[in-house]
Amino acid sequence: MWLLFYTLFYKKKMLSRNFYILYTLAHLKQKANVRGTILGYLWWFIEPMMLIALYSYIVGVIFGHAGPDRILMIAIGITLWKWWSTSLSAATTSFRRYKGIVTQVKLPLSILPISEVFGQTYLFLFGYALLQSILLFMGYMPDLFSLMITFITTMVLISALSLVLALLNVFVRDTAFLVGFGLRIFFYITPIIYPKERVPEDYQWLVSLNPFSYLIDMFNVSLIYTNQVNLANHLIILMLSASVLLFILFLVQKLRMKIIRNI
Amino acid sequence: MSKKKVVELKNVTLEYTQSKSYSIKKLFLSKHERDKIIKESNSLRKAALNNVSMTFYEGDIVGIVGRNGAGKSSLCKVLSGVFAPTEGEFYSEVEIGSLLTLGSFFLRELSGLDNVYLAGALLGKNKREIEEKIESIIDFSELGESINNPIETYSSGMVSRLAFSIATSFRSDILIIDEVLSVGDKYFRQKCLQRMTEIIKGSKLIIIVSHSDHDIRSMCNRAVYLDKGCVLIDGSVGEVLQQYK
Repeated sequence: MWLLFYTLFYKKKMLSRNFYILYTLAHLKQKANVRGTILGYLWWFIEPMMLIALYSYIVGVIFGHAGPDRILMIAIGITLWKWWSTSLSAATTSFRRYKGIVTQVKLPLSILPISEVFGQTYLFLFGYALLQSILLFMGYMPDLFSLMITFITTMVLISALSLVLALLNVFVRDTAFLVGFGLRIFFYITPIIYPKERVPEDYQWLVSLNPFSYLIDMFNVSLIYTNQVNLANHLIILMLSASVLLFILFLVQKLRMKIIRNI
Repeated sequence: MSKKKVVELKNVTLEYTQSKSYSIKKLFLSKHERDKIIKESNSLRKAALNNVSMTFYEGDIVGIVGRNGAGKSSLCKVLSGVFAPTEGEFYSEVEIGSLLTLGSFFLRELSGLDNVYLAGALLGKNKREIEEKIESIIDFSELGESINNPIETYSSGMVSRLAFSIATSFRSDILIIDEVLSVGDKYFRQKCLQRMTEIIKGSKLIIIVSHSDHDIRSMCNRAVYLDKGCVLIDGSVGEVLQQYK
């Protein structure tokens, strides 16, 4: 009985320590990023705004597929993509960057890539707040419950992916280069600047095999097309993402020594 | 002995497995060049620790001496729990190991103050505990206003002063000091030694890696002489230092 208490208490203590490390890393990192810049956090608004304007011009004016809906979806997609791509590319090299911590301190290594995702989430929330106010202004009410599940699913899936990339990068250094242009390819094959219906039948597999397209879809229905929300669908994706995350967490723990030595 | 066991190593062997980094470049090299690379990349060097058995008790202040590459740092990493031994048993009461080579885990783009927070978090402190100590850390390290500048602007003396202040202020069960006492000016060194004698009372176990006879003689109550991954002597400070020379 006492042993049980002890284990619970001990686990809880370690868990809260790990969460505090996660928070500190994520928070401080973002602070360091904007140090010395004149516009500071504003950069996080400026870049997506420019991209949204650019892609709206290309899709709306040049290709002529515009409609207010389309522009909104582009805005949502680009804000999300910025969140994911910066998370993933930062996480890929995270073990290397935190070499000092990896080789000197005893802690679950998974914290390091995941802290990058959390740090970016932090910034994403600013962008999201802006986006949501525009949507509310235009009369779109989000489906809050669906949005919550979508958000959790995204955190889980992006964390899992960032762990995979970080782990790969320890053993195959080329991963960092691959991620650079891989993200660009994924940006275009994910239905972000075009609706997924426009993808021809023969190429639909590109959409259905792409995890990002599910996330984009989930956000779109939660934010705009709330009548199309399919919660069962959401939950299946959440379950799948969670099992991937658990597996990769287990794998990182298993390969701990190899990671420390190979870094 | 009635003293409480803190850490015990039984026949511990630590091997650096041949690190496998796959590279197409290697395919194009001649056999001679390949052998050279293997030698240089240290992957032939095998056991960093060879069949080491030791017990550390509460209150021990152990000085570790040995030539470069004798396995001192590897031993420290096993003790703090970063490395799991390849063979043998390792028993430890310590939950959170201390920082080893101080300062090497600092994030260079963060300010000194932020690094204090980070180090505190890594050592298992919460926000309140960290904030209690901040004042005294800044005081002791004599950094003054520069605490708000990023670490990359610091001189090496400033980095080690900050590192030492952090490590001795956030106390954990085990404190491992790997070659940090040798930096800093004479005045600060004096201050460090004084601080060490203060904290020695409260710590469970302190491990000091140093090449300085004086430091080990003045602080430790036990010493270990490592060579090529084996323990040559484990005994009193005088005995070990005499052999080491």
